[in-house]
Amino acid sequence: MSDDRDLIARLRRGDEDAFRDLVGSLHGRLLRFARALGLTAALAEEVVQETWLAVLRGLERFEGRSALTTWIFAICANGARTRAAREGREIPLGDLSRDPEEPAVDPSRFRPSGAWAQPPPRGDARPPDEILLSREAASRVREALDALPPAQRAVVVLRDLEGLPGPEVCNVLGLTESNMRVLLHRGRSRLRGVLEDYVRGGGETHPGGRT
Amino acid sequence: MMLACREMTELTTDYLERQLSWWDRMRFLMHIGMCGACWEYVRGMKAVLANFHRIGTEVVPPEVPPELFDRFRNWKR
Ligand SMILES: [Zn+2]
Repeated sequence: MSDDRDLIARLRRGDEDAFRDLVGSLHGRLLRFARALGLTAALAEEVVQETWLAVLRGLERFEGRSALTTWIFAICANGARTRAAREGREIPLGDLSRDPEEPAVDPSRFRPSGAWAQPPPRGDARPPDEILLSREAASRVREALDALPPAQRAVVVLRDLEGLPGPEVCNVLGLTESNMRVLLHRGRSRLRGVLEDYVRGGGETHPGGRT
Repeated sequence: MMLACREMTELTTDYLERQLSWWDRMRFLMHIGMCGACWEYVRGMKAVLANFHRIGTEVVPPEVPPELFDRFRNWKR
């Protein structure tokens, strides 16, 4: 955050290069985040532009209690929520009753004792890391991410793509720690399952794992 | 008490987020030490997370509206 302090000082001084750098590094990521919250491309554009104007309005008052990036993502999240509400929709965050509850793994894959009946395929021949290098596997996981319910998707994007620490994800989305982790867990479990299905299906043209 | 494999799959996020109590963490580690299937499960999850940037939710090179920078220039005035 000491980097932040320097950057904020430059911005407050009206240093346009600093502002261009900030916009350059964040604009696309904010768009991705706004889309993850379920906004259309056009609405996301508007919300992100409004976000930048709100940043300019708020910068003098920004107290640096959170990281600058977190603060900007939070402005964007609030803007997205307001905007969605105005369109008569709402972004269901924090209301876990409206998030599809799903076990991490299909219960039929376990014995009554809770031990695996159908364990994940062994990755000795091709470790999962390596599989994800293939374009096809990566695009399956990507489709699965796009298909997650918005609350899960927003949490996964902030935590796993943006790499924000858990508490900052909670700040941005206005979630409690425990709700955030439930959403993260559901989202991650779904994506892992997609990778497993892919491996089980034999992957692309590779001969697949050990038999 | 040994954790069941099914419980392991539900605790994996808390484990990776370092949110398990000391005792549950020990039980979790003991289980993956002994159970190849759960070890594989956790490895698969870690692989997804470690390679997340590869899944190509590429950030589109944004077209930032030039007015934004005009706004910045006029911001202080
Ligand atoms: Zn196990």
